[in-house]
Amino acid sequence: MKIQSTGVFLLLIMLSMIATATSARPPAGQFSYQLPPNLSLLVSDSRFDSNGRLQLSVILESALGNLSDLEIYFDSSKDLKVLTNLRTLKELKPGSARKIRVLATRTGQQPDEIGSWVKIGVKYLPDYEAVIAVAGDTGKYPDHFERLKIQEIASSNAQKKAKYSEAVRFFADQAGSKK
Amino acid sequence: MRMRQHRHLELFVALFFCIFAGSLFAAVTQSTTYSVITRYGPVQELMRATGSNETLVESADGRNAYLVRSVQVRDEAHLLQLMGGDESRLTDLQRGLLETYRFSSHQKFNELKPRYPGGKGSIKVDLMDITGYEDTGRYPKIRDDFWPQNAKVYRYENGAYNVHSEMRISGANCIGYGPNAAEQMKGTYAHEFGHALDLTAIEHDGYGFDDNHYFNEKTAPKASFAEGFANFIKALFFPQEENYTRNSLQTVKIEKPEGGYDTYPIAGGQISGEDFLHVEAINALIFTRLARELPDGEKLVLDSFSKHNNRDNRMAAFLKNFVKDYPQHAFTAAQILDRETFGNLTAAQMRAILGQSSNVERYLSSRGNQTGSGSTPTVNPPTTVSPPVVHRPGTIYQWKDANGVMHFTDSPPPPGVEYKTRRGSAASVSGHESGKPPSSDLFNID
Repeated sequence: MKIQSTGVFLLLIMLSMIATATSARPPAGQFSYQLPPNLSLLVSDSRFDSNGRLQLSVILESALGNLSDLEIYFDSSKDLKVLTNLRTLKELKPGSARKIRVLATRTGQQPDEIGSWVKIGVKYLPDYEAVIAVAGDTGKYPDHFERLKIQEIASSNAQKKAKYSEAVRFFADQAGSKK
Repeated sequence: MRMRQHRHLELFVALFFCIFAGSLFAAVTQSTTYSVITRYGPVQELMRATGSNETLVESADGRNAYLVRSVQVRDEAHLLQLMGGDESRLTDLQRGLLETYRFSSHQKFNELKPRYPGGKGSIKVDLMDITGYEDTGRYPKIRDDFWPQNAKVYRYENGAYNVHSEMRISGANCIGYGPNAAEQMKGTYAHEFGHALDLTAIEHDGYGFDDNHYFNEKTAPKASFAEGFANFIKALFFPQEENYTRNSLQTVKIEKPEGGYDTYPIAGGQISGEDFLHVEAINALIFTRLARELPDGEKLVLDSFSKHNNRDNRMAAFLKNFVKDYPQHAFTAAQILDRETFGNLTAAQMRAILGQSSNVERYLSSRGNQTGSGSTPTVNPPTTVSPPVVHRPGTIYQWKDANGVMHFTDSPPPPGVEYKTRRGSAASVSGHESGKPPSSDLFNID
């Protein structure tokens, strides 16, 4: 009898611990404008060759004006080593896409916690004149104050001649698919 | 027999201790995950490709999806390692995630955590890395799919509902901002943290039809309160927000059922009375000014907010409670309420919100017959010997600084700067988008 009542007690406790989750309506998005992309980065081809090396083709293209001072670098998880060297480009004009081939070999180490990946990164100076012109487009950005905000951001970056930093990260287990 | 009874008693005490004692001393816990998109494509294709360590996130377009991998973040070095390991090679949005992580340990957040409702929940922050997916041409719903947010989850635990917050920071709201994105993302974190502290159950259609909201949009009462409070929390960390918020109030937006917005001059007459309290920027300014202008005001505002925090929060109720909690500050509260609603509340509405007290009556007497006077004189800057400037309650000073930035202040600008004064309720209707053309002065409350 005692065992029975203890069991019932424990069952009640367990039942009370079963989580019943309900979600409240999350607050909606605070409206804000985004600025258009300056650079398009696309992994157009990916595969492992017969030697087990990862081969990627990456297409770089200006999406807004003349990009300048481009520094193209590569990073990877510790199980991969990128053999392609750092590249620099003085400028990248609209309509003149560049393709870069990236080659990575296995190091024999374990992949990172997040997986096995190669990152193709680009630091560059956007075409600030074009960015500021777009930010002031009342047709594209009709709200006065939100437009002012992105204009201030664009102008502040331009004054500092700040370089943008963008990248594409390719996960090796997706080789064969486009990204 | 007695020993057996003792053993049962011990077992019961041990169980009780294990289950309840922990929660007696518990405070809100915070954890962080780092998530990264590994692949994008058609839902059906990705459903087959989803690995055991991946989550399928369907896109708002209904056709595509993302595969997302998440890892629990142990510390800053771990987060950096997950993003690649070299700080100089982070993208702008990755740097934003790193700086947000650092910012989340700001002492002020630790001071705010005991105000987390119930004290037994948790805050889970997901730092969502959208690197490589920022191009809205290629990934058209990336902003909708990973827009920053704080979702409240109520879980029934140990006989009671506990509130848990699931916060996402991604930088999807800062695409194209370059190195400036990091600062914006920190601000977003502070804003979402404000939502985490707040129990307001926002109306189902609280934000209107587009489910978006502007600083200067008139929304539903609870939605505007929740956003105003979140903006106030952000302003505790970024005081410059107050000026931005104030400048956004040249007009008020009202969403149209058929889509789009009508935009009205702030005190053009179309918006009146308590409707002003349904604009998030106005709510944020009321919180911010109470916190700044009263002695120990920040604590008073937060204490009163925490004490009465509930699902039906709204600014009118907050002010009523605040004045009950601190009757000695009723005059200042009335002054701030009057100023931030541009003098548009009647004395009866002021009394309905703030209650009847000698301090409220004293304020209403000092308000005199200026409300609705319609006087908006342009004042020339003082030259040699100027008469003393009388700061009338509810008077707004509009002036431009040397950088051309428009300011709206309660006190006159520095000497030599030209300014206009106006009273909010003075307005005559001056037209709006869907009717008459707006006045050439966007802030036309004359």
